[in-house]
Amino acid sequence: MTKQTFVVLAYMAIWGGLSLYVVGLARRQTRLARQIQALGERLGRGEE
Amino acid sequence: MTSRRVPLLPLLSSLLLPAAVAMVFFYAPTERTMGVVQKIFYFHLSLAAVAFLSFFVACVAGVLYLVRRERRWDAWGAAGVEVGVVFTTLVLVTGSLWGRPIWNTWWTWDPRLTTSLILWFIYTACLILRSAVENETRRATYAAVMAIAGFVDVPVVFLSARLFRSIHPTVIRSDSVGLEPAMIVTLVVCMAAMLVFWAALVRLRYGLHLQEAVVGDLERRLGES
Amino acid sequence: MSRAWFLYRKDLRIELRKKESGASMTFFGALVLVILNVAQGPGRRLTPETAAGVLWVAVIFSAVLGLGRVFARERENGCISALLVSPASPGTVFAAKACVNLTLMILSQAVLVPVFFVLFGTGLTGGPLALVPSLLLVDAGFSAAGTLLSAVSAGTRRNEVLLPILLFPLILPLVALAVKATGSALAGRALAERLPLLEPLAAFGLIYAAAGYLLFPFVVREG
Repeated sequence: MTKQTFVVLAYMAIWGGLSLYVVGLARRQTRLARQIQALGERLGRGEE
Repeated sequence: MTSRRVPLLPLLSSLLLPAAVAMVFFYAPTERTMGVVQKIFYFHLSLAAVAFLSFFVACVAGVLYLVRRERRWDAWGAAGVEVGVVFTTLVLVTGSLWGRPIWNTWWTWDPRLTTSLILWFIYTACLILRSAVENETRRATYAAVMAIAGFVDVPVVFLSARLFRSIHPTVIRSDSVGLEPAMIVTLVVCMAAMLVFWAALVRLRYGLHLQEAVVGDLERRLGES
Repeated sequence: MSRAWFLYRKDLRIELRKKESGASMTFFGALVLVILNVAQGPGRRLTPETAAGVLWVAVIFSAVLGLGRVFARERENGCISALLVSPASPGTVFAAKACVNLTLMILSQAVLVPVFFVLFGTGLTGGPLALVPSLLLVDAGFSAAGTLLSAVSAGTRRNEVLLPILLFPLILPLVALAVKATGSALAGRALAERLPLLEPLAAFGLIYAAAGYLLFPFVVREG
């Protein structure tokens, strides 16, 4: 492997890893927001 | 809470990070002995600094949680530990990819590498601990204790890693590279970009933790009614 | 102080009477030594450093086995809440527990080290007595950190699995230094040469004694 390969690999690891993490966090956030909304609605219905 | 102003940090980092990468490849000169491989160094070092910072944040948040018993300190602690583990993983990967062409080995027990590896183990254990406790206050307390106990280990870890090596013959000179001014400028920009990005990530993760707690609260209220 | 002594004697008496932790610790440690001896193959000699590594693997794995029990029992019987309302402060309880663990470790090592020398001793210059300083220092650090973390892991669902996962990363530097110190002891070098390795071991013990004393109350109150 040439030296360039390692640089490319390292930068792919950094940005690939970080963007995977960000995507994961964003998905968790949307899921939680949906969950909160659903639970809030159920609570509201229960109180009526 | 100031969460209305959130887009500032992500926006800033989405400007700074590409600029930093561009600087690494087009502005900074290529190092004489290591050649192009040295370009890993800028982000490797920034990641390492920021990872350590997040463990520090987790430790401080742990202390504050134990004193104040407020949910938000637990959230900061959780954010610090998780982001720190992600960053440390990347530090280890990039360090390995740097070491292979330069030192001709994927892994060496250099003090800094050893310290990062042990910190990775400690805080990953912290994540596992979090997943193993159901009760919220108990989980927060245990996680705070573990974060503090892990951080006070750092001086011993670093000292021992140095002693551990120093008796062996040192085959490898660590990165005592004399940096040119243009390299230093690049490094500073990379660090700043990474710091902003890190702050955005920690903030995001902090918000997530609070949302999770809200879900827990709502479920409990549903169960009662 | 007298309360700590009282708690210490009480716990130790229970441990010695039931012979549960101490005996299984020693048995398991000896088992590990035998397994490693078999794995090494017949008629081969180890260098002092490798032999030290073998000894420490056995010591660490056997010690973590005993550590989990001391707290699990208190929790099973609901004794933690009784201890909390008793006049002894949580810090005192921590000190007593840590000393019980320390005593158990020393007792089991009193058996394990001779077994180690029987199995691996040929060709080693240093004798068992040269190991005593590093063994004692590691035991102190291990039982301080271990008592704190066993209180943590006892409150979780996966007690037995979690304790080594939490504890081993913290004591990794301790083991690294201990292996080096023991290796040079087994090679027959003088104590003065090992002092720079032994000092961080003592520092680790002090740090975790302080951290445990301060953090332990928060952990037990969650029980």
